[in-house]
Amino acid sequence: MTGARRGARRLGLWRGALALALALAGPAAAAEHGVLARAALDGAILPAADSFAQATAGLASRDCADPGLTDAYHGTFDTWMALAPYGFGPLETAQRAQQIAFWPDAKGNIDRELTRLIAARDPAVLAPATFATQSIAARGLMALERLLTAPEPLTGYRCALARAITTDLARLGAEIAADWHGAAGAALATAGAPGNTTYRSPDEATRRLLVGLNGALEQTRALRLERVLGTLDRPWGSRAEAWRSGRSLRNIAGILAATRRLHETALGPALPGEARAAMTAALAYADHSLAAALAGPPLDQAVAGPGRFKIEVLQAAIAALIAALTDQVAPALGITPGFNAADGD
Amino acid sequence: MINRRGLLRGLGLAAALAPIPGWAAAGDPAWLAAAQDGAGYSLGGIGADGRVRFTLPLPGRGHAAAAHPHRAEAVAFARRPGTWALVLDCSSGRAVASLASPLGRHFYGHGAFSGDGRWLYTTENRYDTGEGRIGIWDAAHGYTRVGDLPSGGIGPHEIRRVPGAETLVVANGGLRTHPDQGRANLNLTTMRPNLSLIDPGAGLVAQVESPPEWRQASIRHIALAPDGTVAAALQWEGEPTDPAPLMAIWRPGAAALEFPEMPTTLCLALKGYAASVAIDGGGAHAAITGPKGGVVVLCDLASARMTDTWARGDVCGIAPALGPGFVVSDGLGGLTRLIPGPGGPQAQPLADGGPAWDNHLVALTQA
Repeated sequence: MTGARRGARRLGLWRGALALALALAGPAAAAEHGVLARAALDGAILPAADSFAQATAGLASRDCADPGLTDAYHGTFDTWMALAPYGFGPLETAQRAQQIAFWPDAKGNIDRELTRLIAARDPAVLAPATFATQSIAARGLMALERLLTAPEPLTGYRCALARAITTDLARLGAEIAADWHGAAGAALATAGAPGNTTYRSPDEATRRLLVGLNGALEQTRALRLERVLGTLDRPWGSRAEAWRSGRSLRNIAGILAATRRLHETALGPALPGEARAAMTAALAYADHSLAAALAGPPLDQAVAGPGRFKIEVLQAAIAALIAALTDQVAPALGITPGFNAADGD
Repeated sequence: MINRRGLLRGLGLAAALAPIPGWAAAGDPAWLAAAQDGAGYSLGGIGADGRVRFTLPLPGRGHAAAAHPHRAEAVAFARRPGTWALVLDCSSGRAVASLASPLGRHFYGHGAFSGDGRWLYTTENRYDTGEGRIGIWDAAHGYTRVGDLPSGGIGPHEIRRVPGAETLVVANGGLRTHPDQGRANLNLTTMRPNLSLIDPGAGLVAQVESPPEWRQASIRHIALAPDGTVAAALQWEGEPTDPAPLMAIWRPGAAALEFPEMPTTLCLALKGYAASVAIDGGGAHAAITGPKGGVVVLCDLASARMTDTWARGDVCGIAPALGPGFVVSDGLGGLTRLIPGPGGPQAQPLADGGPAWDNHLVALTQA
């Protein structure tokens, strides 16, 4: 550990102690957490939920022959990446996050379910209420990607299936936006208020936001990159997310953009200078590493070629971003790992 | 394989979850849990309303507890690799007896009583050979050590008695450890966890191992349904990014374990670590807790399908509630009633501001 880092950590601890003292003192810290949650809701979550709802509605209105269909798919996926880090509340309900993006698909469930549906050609299955109860592997953006990138034309039952998927996505988009504009948003913004059974103390909203963001970044580091890098002898390009539509790195860009948005609207303003600067610097380095990777071949090819080093650098940059979040941002906001999360038996 | 007839014979006696008469003197707690408050460790008795009925000091960090089936007596176990267990009279707060693991052994933090409360069974590591043992103690004679049995594997962790029967179910986690090397795992490449059914009078009755692909999923904690179905919480010791199962289900008579499918992203969020498991009183739902991800995962037991997740920071202990659903405890000092339902689980806060509740919540049940 360098002296500067040790110093920053000490400062973080001190700040954590201060936050704890304020929490004990009462309203001041409670107000701080309340401001953060409100800013996250208004500045990041609601705009992301609205964009996803609009994008999915637009996607569902397009016919299979529409030349803009693929662009609309990409646009919708972009809005999903902005919303995905808020994987709690409305996205946790009925496993909606999985319904929207079933990935990774380690057992090949998407191919199996789609093949089964296409072979059966049952139009009744595609009725919205029925389709919403089908396997999550046959629904959502990843199933749509298969249909859009398959060699077969998007006609007949395949077209009807694609329309069922986009209609289902629009339903999910509308439900999620309605939830965030309704009870879920109100709960987040009033954490710790009497009768709030979702967030029982003011800092629980902050904790949930940090856990969500940390989860999205850890997914990116481990599943979107580490598993794809595999080993030098055995890189694993087919494990890349949405490689068929060539958007593996674009999804990582989406997570980084969402991280920046939450930092700029909610986390940053609540942070002391040092923690804010650490997060800003880690974000800048991750963006820089991403730009270098984007200048090379797509992720699934880069890991097996000369571009591999840039992907390793990107993975390290995201690990550093996670470290900034857990070692500096969280303690500065008075959020420390719990008794049970810290170790196990 | 499980001897189905032998197992089912006792099951008709399985009783519903209800307060135990002898525990009235200790304020009728519904659950026991180890806790940390400031620098001190304790065992807490929690009432059905979520209020703490008693707090008894412990000499070190506890893990799980075993509740005597008739008397207000609890055995608090040290956390692995601890060598002490303390028998507490929960009505007076006095220590009735103190158990020390025999030379060359340590406890794993769990134990279970026989149906009549006469015998206490403890999971132990005989660490010169790495063999798992079940220690037997006589509760009618000051908890003297009377003998031991093989546990059926390496690293026996949680032990539970089949409701209404004397058969014991042991989760042999498969991990060899030695106290000289702390909690380090010494056999990651060869580990083979299993569930063992043990008749205290006759030894091993049945056993089921994990399939080879999941042999690095340590079977650590277990819960039993009234019909003898076992749900297990797993801890993945393999590659952190592999999509490994975190729950296993074993039905009486079945030749193999079932693994409810969970999204890889969820396993990653839980860091491959399920801490506790419970089955609700009706035997319809099973749930595991993931403190490293702050998530409870609910499953439908009959179909072995995951149904929902519920987020709660540092959530760890879980036990059946007296009515429908579960009660979960967390290290932030909260207790919550969690009731599964078709529209998702309903969470009712029971208490906040308690001590940091440690790993397990132990239900006091008549069985």
